[in-house]
Amino acid sequence: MSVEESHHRRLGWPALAWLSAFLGVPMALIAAVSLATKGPYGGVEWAFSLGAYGRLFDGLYIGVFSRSLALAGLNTLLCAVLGFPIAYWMARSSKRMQGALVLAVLIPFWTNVLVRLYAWMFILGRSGPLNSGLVSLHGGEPAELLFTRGAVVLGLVYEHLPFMILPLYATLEKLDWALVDAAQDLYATPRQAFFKITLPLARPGLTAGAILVFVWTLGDFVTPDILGGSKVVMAGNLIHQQYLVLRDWPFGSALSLGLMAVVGAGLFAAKRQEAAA
Amino acid sequence: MPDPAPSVELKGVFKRFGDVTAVDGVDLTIRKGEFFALLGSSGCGKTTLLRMIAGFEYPDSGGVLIQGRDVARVPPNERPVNMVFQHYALFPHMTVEDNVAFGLRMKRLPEAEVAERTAEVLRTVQLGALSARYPHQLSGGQQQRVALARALVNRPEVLLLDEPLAALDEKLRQEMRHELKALQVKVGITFVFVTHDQEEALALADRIAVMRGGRIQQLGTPIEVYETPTSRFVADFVGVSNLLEGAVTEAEPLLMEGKGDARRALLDVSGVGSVAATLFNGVKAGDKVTLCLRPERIHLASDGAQAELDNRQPGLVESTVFLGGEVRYRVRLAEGRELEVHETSSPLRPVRRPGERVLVQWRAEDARAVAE
Ligand SMILES: Nc1ncnc2c1ncn2[C@@H]1O[C@H](COP(=O)(O)OP(=O)(O)OP(=O)(O)O)[C@@H](O)[C@H]1O
Ligand SMILES: [Mg+2]
Repeated sequence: MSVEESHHRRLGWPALAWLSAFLGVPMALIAAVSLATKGPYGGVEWAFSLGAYGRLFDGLYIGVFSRSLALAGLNTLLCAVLGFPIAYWMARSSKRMQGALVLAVLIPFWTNVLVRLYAWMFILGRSGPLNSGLVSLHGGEPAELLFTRGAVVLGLVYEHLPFMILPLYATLEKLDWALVDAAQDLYATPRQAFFKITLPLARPGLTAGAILVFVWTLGDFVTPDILGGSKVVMAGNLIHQQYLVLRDWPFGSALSLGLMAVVGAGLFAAKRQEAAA
Repeated sequence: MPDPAPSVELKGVFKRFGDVTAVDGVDLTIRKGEFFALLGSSGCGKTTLLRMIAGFEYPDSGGVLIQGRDVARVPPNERPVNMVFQHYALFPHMTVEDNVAFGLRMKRLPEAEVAERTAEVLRTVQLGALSARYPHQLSGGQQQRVALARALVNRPEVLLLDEPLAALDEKLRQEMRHELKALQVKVGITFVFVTHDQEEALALADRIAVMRGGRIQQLGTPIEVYETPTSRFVADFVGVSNLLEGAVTEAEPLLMEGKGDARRALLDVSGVGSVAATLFNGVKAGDKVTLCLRPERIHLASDGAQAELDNRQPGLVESTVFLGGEVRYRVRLAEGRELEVHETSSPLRPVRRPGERVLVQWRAEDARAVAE
């Protein structure tokens, strides 16, 4: 071991301690609880059982999981399609402007997510500004905007777009634009230059953004709750329900670990593909 | 046979960025097969001019012609020119081979021809063995050659080079200079080369345009630009000059073949006294002028020796720097002015010591006076 390596190892200790205290221990607890039995009034009885895992394969839960994955996938796609032009435009603005734009992307985080979602509830509601506008333009009855799948998708995109924009912007901001000039100098049309140069070189940012958005969406239970009423149940809602409403901690824990396994497998596959490419 | 159309013509080209005028009325004709240098200090508009030929910038007014065709508003991908970028701009996610083949593939040439031409040009720049590497696995000199190959493989009408050697270290730069010149002769393509290094421009170019503040100050062969600078700026920028302020006391036409409007004149130079010199471009008696005196055109003789040249002044050696092939002196004249003097070292010529009294002399033809 070189001096530098041993140095790195010693510097690694705080990180390791942090990870074990705040990730390792809670994970071990969840794993332990998932193998226990639900008490009669909630809580946990420490009797070993695989029952919680058996229930994971119930069609109802598999349905919720696959719909969550599909919704998270859709949200990731929408965030990428919307986020790319925004990040691109930010990266090509003047340096001074860039600072202001990054701030603008971050400003929503200054307000609690609940407050922001209630604002959307108001906007989309039957007597909200959107509906009054529509009614005064076209007449007729106010439309049902709130408590729909569309409202949930809108909320998810709204909430997660910054997680796509920021890593994408960070990558594009470092891009050497002379490369795009060079491609055009070598007879590429602007469109070809985009697909052959800009997009491949933006891939690390796109991957990072996609992972952030996807994982965060899967765990989200507030947005479907508030904007979807009780009609849209996502994996996050399910887990939330088991822990806090039905007080079935072992099953809640098994669901959490199941979700983690799905996400982990997905990330692993993505990584393999990245390495192969 | 009639002359072929010039490779590039610029006609009254202007380009502004906000309130900065980057290119301020440039007229220029670059001949077919010429190695042309745009020389100037930082910010004088060299890159902007090159980018207008490439098509990355459109002129605010004026014409850009390539092979006689007006391309002022034609995008870069439709122009028969290719560029070697200052930091090469190699595509980091592609191998050397794919970098070089990029242009041909965009032109949709058959893959067999792409492979053949790519291999051929990689051999020309001696990179055949490295074709599967990625740019970050190459040295600076190798990257530079990939950039050249990537442009040359398209057989452009004009190759544009923006300070292609600036990112290399001194030794490699000297080497690449020779390679670049040899390559240009071999491929016979018009090269337009941007540099702020006057030595590079003198060494490589067939003709040089010296730029300043968005304009062309002087256009000519390296010898013309070096030997007959028409302004104080050019005399100062190209090579080393002793620049002395003075006024013309009398002037008469110099009847010498091939010397244009050159005239013999007598100048009154502050800190030196009366100097016989050669005058250019319509300077008259009474005008204020700058006298340009190249250090290697000043000769030192021992104190009390027979004077041989038109101008002679007693002087005192202030400092001596021996550089092997050359000796550099600073010599103070009787009236106080200091001159830089370079002499080729030779066993037949003594190296003067500081404090030594000498006779400083130079020819009238080597003392050039330009309007201030
Ligand atoms: N895109 C731009 N936006 C604003 N100003 C610009 C732009 N490009 C160039 N300029 C300005 O135009 C002037 C000429 O720039 P240019 O890059 O052509 O100079 P240069 O001679 O190539 O200098 P250098 O040797 O430093 O590369 C400079 O004052 C520069 O600041
Ligand atoms: Mg430049």
